[in-house]
Amino acid sequence: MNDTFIVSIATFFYFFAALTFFVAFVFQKRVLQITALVVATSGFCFETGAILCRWLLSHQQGIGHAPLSNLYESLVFFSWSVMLIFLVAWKRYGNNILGIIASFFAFILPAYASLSGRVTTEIQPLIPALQSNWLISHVISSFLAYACFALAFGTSVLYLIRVWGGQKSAALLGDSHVFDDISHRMTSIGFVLLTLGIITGAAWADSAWGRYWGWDPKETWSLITWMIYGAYLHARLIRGWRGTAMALISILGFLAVIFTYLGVNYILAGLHSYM
Amino acid sequence: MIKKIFIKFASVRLTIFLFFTLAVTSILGTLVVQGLPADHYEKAYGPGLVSLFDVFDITDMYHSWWFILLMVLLAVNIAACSFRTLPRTLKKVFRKDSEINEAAFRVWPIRYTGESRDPINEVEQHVCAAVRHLAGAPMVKTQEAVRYVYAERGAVTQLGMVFVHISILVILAGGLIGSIGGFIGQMTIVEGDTSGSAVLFPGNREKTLPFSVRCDRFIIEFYDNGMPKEYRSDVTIFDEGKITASESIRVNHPFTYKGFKLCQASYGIAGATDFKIAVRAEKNDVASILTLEPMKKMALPGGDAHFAIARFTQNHQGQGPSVLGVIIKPEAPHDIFWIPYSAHHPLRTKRGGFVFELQKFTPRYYTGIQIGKDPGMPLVWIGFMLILAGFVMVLFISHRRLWVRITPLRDGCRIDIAARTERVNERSYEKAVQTQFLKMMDVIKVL
Repeated sequence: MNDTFIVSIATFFYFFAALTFFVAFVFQKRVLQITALVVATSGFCFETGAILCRWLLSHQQGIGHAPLSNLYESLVFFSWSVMLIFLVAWKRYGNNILGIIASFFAFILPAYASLSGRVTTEIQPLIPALQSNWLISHVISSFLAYACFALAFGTSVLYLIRVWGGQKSAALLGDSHVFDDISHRMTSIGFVLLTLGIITGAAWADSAWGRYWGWDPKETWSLITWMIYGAYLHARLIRGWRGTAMALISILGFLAVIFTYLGVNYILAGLHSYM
Repeated sequence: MIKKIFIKFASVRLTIFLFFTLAVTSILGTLVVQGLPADHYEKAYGPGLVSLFDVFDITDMYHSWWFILLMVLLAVNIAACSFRTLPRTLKKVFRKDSEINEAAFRVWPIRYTGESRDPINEVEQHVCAAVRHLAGAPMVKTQEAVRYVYAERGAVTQLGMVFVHISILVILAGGLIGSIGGFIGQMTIVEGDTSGSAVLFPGNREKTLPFSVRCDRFIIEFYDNGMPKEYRSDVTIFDEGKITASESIRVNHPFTYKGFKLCQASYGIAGATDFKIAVRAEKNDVASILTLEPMKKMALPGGDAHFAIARFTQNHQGQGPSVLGVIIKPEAPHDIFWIPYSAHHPLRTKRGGFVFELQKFTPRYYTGIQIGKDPGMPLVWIGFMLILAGFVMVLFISHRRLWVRITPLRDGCRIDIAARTERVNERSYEKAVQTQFLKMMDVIKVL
């Protein structure tokens, strides 16, 4: 029994959680909603266990470090973060739609890790650049931010479907303001976390590379993302934009997130190539 | 006129425009690799594009005049916006509703009205307790037998956003000071050598340092699976001819001397000594081990031939470390050939009737130390702290205001409640107000 196996159990749970949330949403049944929540929470518990297990295993191998150091570990942590944000937000916006989105992301990320074939699941030791106390705070704040943006992205897409979809989607999805509102709140929290992620990253870069900011592609793309969401918040809070324009900026912002996270590593060269 | 310009600069529309412009232009610099030598771009993009690159400094675009102009515009924009809204914000933070605010009972978002049969003094006591719980110390005023209770808490949260915006200015100022008054460069020092200068980037100018650095040794350690575990340079600092410091510099563990920060950045092999080469005649099974230094010839077994190492290279045509060997036979031209090295499996090279195998050598490393000085750093850190403090204020302090009006009736009194919060989560405040007041009222109406 190893940690990757536990992750695949969690992945299955998330898949069924997404399905159950969807059915609960269509039939508006309280029982189904609770079932979906229980399934999602179980998946979350398994995933938490898997992360802890991997941490423990790395210590047994004598190369102990928090499992936040390569693509596989970051995908799992991303999935975990999305679920965490969703479960925290559940109390306030206990709604099935957010459940579908969260479970879908939580499912697709580790599924990608195991299906793509280019993601190594092996526990690797830390190369010198990663041996830093900033690793944990930088990765956690960045991925919690990504998770918020993922949920904002999902609700923004649903907003557009609702607004552009005409009568049928109106009957199915209900009030469009709910999506707009959730997307805004997720973006606000995500923005603060992203700021924290960039600051801890700058502090780390200063000790690892001798400068806090060097316009490395990863750094630049994180700033691009920050500015897109900065524009989002200003447009909304000061200029009073709502609805479609906000949803489009939110989607643009999440594309920037994905590029910051994966595109920079796959397409551009830089110091962050280890992830 | 000046006012018009000021208003233009103080518009949030400009902020949004600048955010998008900076974001879009920044992409360019991640697609075109920055700061390479000119001929690289010539080869990759052709002369037409390169001349366009030159006009807009695309190869070092984050330091180009137009990119810096955009940043300066952003700074001016933030400053102007802050300047414009600051008086209003300060008024909001430090103002107390000293006058009775009748309008609150008509327009504030959270409003309730109800009646109580209890005597007015008792009701006032209950109201004060509830208000204290919800929004801090209550202030009571009486006007023509009508009593007003007011409280406000957390107004300071509005300074949070001011902090966030000022901090961006502080960070940008720190960056500017750093780029004008600071430098960053690279020192390449071979083990045992001393250097007192650094090559600056960008531009490759040489800068003389007020001290010199000796690399005593460079050490690289590996994990069992071959991944690097540690890069370390042991250095000694000479200042005015005296040894003033000895330190190990590792990745993530820079060493700061007199405000100069030294970081482990790169390494390489400058040369090698103490070569062990196993050599045997092709027909013979017994090899003898030659211990060689470059350019020292030694006799090959069983004859009059000699062998010498002419040169060592870290990487010969992608095959890794290799030595250039020479077989010297009397009355024959020198026979020159490469002997490659592999750490994993023995590589045999046949030449002139002999079989050579380079078994071992002691590499002589050079270390690449990045050295820099940034007088803007303290400002940048202050900016970082300030921005986080601002966000914490915005997120965790909620501004709550609460007015209660108690009007005496023939039997008991009427209670009007008006509440507002600038926070996003109005809902939770509304709930708290409800639960506090519901229990003291007999009749209640939500407005």
